[in-house]
Amino acid sequence: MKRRLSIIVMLVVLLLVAVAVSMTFGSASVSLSGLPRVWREILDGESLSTEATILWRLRLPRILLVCLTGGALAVAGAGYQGLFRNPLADPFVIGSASGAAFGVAIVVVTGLQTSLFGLSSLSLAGFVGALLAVLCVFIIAGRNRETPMVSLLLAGVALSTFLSACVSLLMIVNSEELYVIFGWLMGSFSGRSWGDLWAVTPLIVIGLLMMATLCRSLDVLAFGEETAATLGLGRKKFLILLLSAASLLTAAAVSAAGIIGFVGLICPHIARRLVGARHAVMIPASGLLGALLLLVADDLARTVLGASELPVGILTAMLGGPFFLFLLKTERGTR
Amino acid sequence: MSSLRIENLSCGYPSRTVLKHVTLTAEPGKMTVLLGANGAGKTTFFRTLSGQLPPLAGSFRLADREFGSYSLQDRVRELAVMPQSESRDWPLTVEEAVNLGRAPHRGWLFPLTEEDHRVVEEAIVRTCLEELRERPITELSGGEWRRVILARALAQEARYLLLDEPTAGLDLKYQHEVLHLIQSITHDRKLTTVLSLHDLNLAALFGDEIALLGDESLIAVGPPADVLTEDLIQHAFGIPVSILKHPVYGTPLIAPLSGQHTGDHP
Repeated sequence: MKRRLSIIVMLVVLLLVAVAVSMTFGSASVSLSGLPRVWREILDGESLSTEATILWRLRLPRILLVCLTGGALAVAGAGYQGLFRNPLADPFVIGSASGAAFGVAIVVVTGLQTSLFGLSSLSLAGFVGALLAVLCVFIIAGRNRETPMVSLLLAGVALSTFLSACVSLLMIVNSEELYVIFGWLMGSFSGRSWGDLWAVTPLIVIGLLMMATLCRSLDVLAFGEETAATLGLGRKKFLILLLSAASLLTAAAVSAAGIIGFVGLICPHIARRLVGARHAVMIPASGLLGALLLLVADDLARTVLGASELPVGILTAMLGGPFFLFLLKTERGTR
Repeated sequence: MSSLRIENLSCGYPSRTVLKHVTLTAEPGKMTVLLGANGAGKTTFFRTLSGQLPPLAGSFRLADREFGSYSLQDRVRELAVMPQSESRDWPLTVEEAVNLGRAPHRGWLFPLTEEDHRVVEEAIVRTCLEELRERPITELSGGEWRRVILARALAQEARYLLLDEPTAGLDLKYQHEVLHLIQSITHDRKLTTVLSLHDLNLAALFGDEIALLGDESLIAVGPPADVLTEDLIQHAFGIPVSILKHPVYGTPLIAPLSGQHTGDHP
């Protein structure tokens, strides 16, 4: 237990260091030792130098948003893996991604442009689409007051396939908008600032708090649904709470940056390796790892190509894929 | 008294009745063993008793209280269940798994108390799992895993124990080890234990009461010597047997007369 706590503390320290280092990367580069000076300048609130402006207006909110998004995705992934008792589940397993993509495609194609609570119409469409898709899946999968897990998964796969086809159709028919939709599907934090951060923070905080109440229930589910019931787990309430928490986190992440794959899949795996399977420890570890991983990926995304940016979703998949394979190859005999 | 009183219970599914009119009382401190051929309804019976399947008719009482009147929370404090096969999907450690037996008392949110840890520790010691406490449950052998489930049931501090084939998939040594453990816990703590077995000889050795299922109902109930007779077993399992006497314990020893040699049976 002590060892596990110290790993959590280590991850927190590592994340703080990564945040500080990330602050120094980018077009206006500041050395680590220069950070305190810039920080004082910001706190004094006097006229800011150019680099302080960039750090305060652009880089800091972006970094914080990246951390929150990564954490949200990783925690949602851990929640879904626990719910389905399947290590292949990720935040998008029951339709959030394709729902979000469909929402965005419709907004892009119809040219609706509004903004609400500091979120652009694209973010809003992604958020609403992701939530609606999960709700649809939940309703479709229900039968005489039960919602079997397998039905949830199957309905999720079916709806995802259907919605993806719709998105492809919209993209083909409106080929001039293809790049906008496609770019959004790749996921990116380019140009995010405080407004975006304030818009998604409450959603993610609510999602995380809800998930925190579900840790022991998720542990009990490792014995199967029947045993969970004989230990007093009220299935329906649990299912609704978990789906709400996980899809809220996923939808918030999607509205912040589009669809970013792999973070939500691999972080729970790494966390389980580091601190064991107990969700009360594993979920925080997973969240911290998600923040860390996405931060590194985003640092690379905004620097490797020099002036232009790579979509961060491409990087998470390029880094995450091989790493995941490495994990699989080195995993001990049991799963 | 914490006896389990079943009265005229019918169980099954809306479309199909599996067992009809079962009347049976399981007493505290005794092992009541359920026997019956495949499909005789043992698992359905357990699922009904554990509240996962509503009874089609009739009722049962835990300590003179109607089962239907228990809330989920009350029920899981009284009744511990071991299903035929239980999954272990994540590598929780043995201790973490046993800790979860406290969920019926502590709920889902609050950390375990000193008292909880004491009860868990006792359960771990009782089932000889001290050495394995940090081991992931996914790495345990079948016998060790059964012991963990038993420890979790002990941590649950339930007075009723329902075990659906606790020896399934275990080899000879583990079958006896697990049943010994169940027996001694049942006797020490005056638990009301109902378990199903496939092996008639194990039932004869460990059962205080035998309930024999067949023909969609309870055929016979009583001490092993009364129920494990040639006629009743042939009736329930459809295979002729010869009953001998256990050379050491004097309990019935069942020798099946395999199908091909049926004709030679005197």
